[in-house]
Amino acid sequence: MELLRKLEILADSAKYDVACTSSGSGRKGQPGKIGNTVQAGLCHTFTADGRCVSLLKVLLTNICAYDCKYCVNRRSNDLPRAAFTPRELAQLTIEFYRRNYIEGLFLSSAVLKNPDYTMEQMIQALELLRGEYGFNGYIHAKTIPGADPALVRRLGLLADRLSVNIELPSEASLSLLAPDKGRKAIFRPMGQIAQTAQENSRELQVYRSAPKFAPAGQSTQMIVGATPETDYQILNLTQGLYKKYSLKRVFFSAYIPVVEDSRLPALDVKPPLLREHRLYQADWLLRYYQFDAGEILDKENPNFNPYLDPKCNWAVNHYHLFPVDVNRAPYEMLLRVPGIGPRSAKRIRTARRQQSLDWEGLRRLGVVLKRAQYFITCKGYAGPHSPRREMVVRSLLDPKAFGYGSYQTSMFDNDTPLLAEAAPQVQQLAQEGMAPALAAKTVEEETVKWLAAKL
Amino acid sequence: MAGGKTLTPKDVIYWYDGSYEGFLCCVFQCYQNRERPCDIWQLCRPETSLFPQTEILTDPVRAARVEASIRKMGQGVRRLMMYGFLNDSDGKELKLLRFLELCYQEGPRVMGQLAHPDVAAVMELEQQVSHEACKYREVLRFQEREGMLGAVIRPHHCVLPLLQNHFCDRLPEEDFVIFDNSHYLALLKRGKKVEYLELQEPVILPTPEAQEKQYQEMWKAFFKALTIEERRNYALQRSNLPKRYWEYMVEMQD
Repeated sequence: MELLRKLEILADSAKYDVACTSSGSGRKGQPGKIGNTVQAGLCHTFTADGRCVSLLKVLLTNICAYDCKYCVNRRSNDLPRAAFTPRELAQLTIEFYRRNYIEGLFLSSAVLKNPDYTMEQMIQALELLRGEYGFNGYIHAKTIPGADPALVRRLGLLADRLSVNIELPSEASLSLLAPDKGRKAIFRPMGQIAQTAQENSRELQVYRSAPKFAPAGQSTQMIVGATPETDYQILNLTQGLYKKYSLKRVFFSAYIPVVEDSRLPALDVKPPLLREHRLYQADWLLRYYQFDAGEILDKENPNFNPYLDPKCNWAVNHYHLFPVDVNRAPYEMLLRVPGIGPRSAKRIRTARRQQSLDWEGLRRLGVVLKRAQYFITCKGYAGPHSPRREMVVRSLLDPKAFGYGSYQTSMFDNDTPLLAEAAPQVQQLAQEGMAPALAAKTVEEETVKWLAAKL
Repeated sequence: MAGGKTLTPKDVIYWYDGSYEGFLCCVFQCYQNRERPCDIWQLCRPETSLFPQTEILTDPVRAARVEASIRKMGQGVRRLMMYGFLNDSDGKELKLLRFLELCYQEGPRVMGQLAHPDVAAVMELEQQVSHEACKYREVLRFQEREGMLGAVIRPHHCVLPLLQNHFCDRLPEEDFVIFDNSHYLALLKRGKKVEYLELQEPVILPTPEAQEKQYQEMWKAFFKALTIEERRNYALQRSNLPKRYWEYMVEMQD
């Protein structure tokens, strides 16, 4: 088969893997080799769906022995099949890398024969790339559930980041939809990777030149919307993964119906993009905003508010804690003010040591005053004068939920289609024949009233 | 350096050769005359202004003295000055001058005064440059010709010096050249040697050789295969990657 055709097939099969980051590992170039890595990662391009392309994301092969219901590559699916030879893959990686198309390789694979055999093939390909081709750039490798721990270790010594996909957010869903993958087969390698990484960091303290095991840590992903878990369950699971396995990232992927099956959502169900977006926002709150999963959602409110991002939602529910004085409030509290992110919070913390901040100063530091104005006081500004609650709420609403983004300035143009992320209610009204702009406006007005009453 | 001395505004325009050293000599002149010009230009435009225009000659000795005084303020200030200078917007010289005045008054602690208008202005200059340099580390596309790699960019700011370390570290065994079509400047790396060349006219990359063409086709096919149709979202694509970067990106051409 022609290499171009292989690449098409194996990239198409890998595209539902969301983790395409090249971050977490900073490594200098070496004479005689090719490549380095950048701590923050680089995104080389963006596809028409707006997702970043950072790595050559392919499967080694899409010939699979398993039959997981949610997966395009399942055995029973009629699909063109292909496999790279290690040399083809190494050559392709190097040539793309030289041209600055990619940051490195993301290698995953379907289960060819059995997990151990597949892993051996992957290791062979990576050894060729790292050894003979002298590739020093980023490699993300996916471990195959159920593979021998010794193979996982070898893979980790070649890759920057490892990942094990937990696929679905609960054991019940897993045994229903992926009968070939057990919960154990997923969590065992995850535990092993976490432990080996810890041992490796101790080793590196003693011997600076000890081989590095997955220096960019490990990540995972799960499918959202294929099974009935609540957002609260998913978020709790996420937090648990960060704490227990010290994961670097948890990725979510909105389920896109690929197959007709009584156990799955129907084929005409739209992918829950807004929900996925909210999960990422909440994930950010866990990692950068010092939030706890229990503060974002709880048993009584197990699902996200579609119209507010989780941080604004928290602020609405804790309106009595505001306004805070930006010149005195602790860093943790600054992070919770709508319109202040980690970057401006850090700047505030630095700047207020030398002079107390006023309104103009805050603007210069990058605070979004449109939202923050109702939640702060500063030098020369004693906070809002009994603002109308509707105005407070309106400043916080997420425009995405109503189907218009920053690019659609004229939302009252009737021909403008809704964004795919619009809230389900807006979508439904539009489907029932209401003009998109009117549907958005109707839902927006109702939401404002409802939230203002809550404040 | 006349540290701590203040400058008084004066209706005069300085003009210099456009180099960083030249700008540092303008700073020297300001402190020698205790005056702050109402503008600093990169060339002489006698007909466009009523104010007298003074040419500031570039003198390496004077530049070195100002440079030494900046060094004393610490890495942060030095970085802001150098990155800020690479910014290609009008009026950057005056912003940098005002910032430097504040530095001489306040000393290194100026880096903590993030909300000060003069500091914020220069930080903005610096951020625009860093951001664009970072973007070009990502979207720059090389093509191979007779064993050498070549790329063309058209940045707003003069980012070539900020790409140098990145690509030299990344591709130590390759020879490459990057053409900046908006500043008529080229970065040439051959073996371990790096040099900057001035261009007479914008560069047009020749049609690719057969093998190069193959890799371009494969890259395009890969790019296309990765798109998930159900999630198509051009607005998101454009906000992550504004169209002005598409010009020389292989996968964005039909």
